[in-house]
Amino acid sequence: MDEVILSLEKVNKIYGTAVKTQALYELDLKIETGSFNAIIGQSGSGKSTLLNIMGALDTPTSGEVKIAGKEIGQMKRKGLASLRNKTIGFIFQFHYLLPEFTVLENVLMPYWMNTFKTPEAIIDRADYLMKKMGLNEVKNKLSTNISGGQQQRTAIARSLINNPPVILADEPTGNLDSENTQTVYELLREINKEFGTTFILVTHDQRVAEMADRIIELKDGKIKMDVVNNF
Amino acid sequence: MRLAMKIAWRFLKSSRSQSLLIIAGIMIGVSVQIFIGLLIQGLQNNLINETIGNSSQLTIRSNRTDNVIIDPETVVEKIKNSEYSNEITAIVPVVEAPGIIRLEKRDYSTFIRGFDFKEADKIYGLTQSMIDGDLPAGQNEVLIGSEMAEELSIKKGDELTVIIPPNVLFPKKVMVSGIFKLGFGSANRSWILSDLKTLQLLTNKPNTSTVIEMQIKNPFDADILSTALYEYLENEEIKMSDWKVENADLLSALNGQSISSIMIQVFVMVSVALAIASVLAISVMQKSKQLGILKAMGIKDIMAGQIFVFEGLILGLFGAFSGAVLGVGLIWLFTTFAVNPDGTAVVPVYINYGFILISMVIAVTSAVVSATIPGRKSAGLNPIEVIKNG
Repeated sequence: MDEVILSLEKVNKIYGTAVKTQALYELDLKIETGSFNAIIGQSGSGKSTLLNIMGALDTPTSGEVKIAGKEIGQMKRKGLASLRNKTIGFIFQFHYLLPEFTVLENVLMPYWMNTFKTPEAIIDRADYLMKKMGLNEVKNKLSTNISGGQQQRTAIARSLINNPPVILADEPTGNLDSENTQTVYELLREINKEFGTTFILVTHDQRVAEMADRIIELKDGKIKMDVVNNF
Repeated sequence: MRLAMKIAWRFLKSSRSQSLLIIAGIMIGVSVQIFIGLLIQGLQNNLINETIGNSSQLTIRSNRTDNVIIDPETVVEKIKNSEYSNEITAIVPVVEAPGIIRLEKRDYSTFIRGFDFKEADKIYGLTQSMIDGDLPAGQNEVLIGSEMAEELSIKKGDELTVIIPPNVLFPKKVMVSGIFKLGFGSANRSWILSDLKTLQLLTNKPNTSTVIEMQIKNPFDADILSTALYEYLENEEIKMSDWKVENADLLSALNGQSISSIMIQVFVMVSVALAIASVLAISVMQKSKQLGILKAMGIKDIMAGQIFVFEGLILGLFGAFSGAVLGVGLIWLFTTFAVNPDGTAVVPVYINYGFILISMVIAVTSAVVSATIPGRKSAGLNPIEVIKNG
């Protein structure tokens, strides 16, 4: 369990050129493989910036970020795209499904980015994930024609199709009611146990954070608290 | 690649009215191009056909002081046995001479031409131009033009007295076997046509001709063939002339027409290409959220760019095909309803499939090329901007 899948060393992030705003200060962080982590903090504390840097969506102004042993500062755009596709799964606050595609097609989309030919094993995996997310009934519907909860669960199934070792989730339950929040959280936990997937959740929701193995609190771009949660 | 095509197709389907609008734009552009192109081609073909369709397109003349070509049959044989024979559709030695018809009360100036009727028919279309009688069957028989026949009240079977200077002391009697009406008035007014032997006898110059006339497969290559034949014949007693030299004014008018037609077509295509580029550029903005999501999921820049190139290709293909159908439809309407009193089209248009295909290929290519601009924009999009801005 103590193998490190993701590490940040002295990471700084400064926005703007004329007026500079520093979002992260000399941040050091190591995430262990298979762990379930929650990042909390107030608005503007740098949570989303941190998550975007960890997901190779954004680059740090200085410092080193390693994902699955690869230093992302050295990688070109093509390499970063491939890393996002195979190593990281994203779940956003807004589901960000493609409205032009069905639920099943949205789930398969990350796989299709590598090869468009869909083998039986991948269809089976998509079916398994959709069944697990309770989406079997709606899999052939356009992603705009399903409920908000179903959309978010579709986004989760999509993030898992390539079986990435890390899932980054930015307020995944932020738009859901309490019942759906509980369902989504339980699903994420199940996946964490079943596939050994590492989870890093950014959340406002204290109840969700308290269910994580480790809680990291950010304040003004620095780690204010980093505790192992013993439930 | 196939994913990019699938996404492109779905993007286009989801913005149906916008896609149909661009297709309509391309369709109109292509149809205008095809309509104008075919119409101008029809006009030019018609004009060229009227001008040189029934006359010599390439002519061998004499370079000698006595203005005759010695042993023209040998020259003809030499050309027929050359590599250029395939380029030539008709070749005939002609004896030309000014002549006089002596009537009871007055003389009438004419231009007498003698040639082998069978071969000359390919050039002048005499068989279709006969309004009375038949082509001469033997020596001393002639055809005369319709206007001359009317003016001098000559009928088929009449006998004429013909004098050819300088042999004014030896008038010859010939018999009118028929009357022709060609497409140009001067021929109908002054030509007398007979066979080669008769004219050689009348001019007293056996085994000679004054010109050798030809029609060729590609009239626009007349000057090239002219030079090649001259070099091949190696005969200093002859010189060449072609219809392009003799009709330089017509050619320059046709060239002007071609250039203006091409200019119109280029501007139509450029405006279509700009319309595609600008609409697709807006589409990149509209779909930037989807592109951001795809990029966050790891779509490669090149594939993100390909989506818009495929959009251009799909729009181009639909636009080009529908434009070709509309263009041909317009031409059909034009040739069906814009007609002369006799029912023939004002401008006979020939459906040039090669031109239609080229117009379509140009439209599709310009659609694809103009789609690379938004494609590049899409490839360069940064996912974080989209994720941040929701």
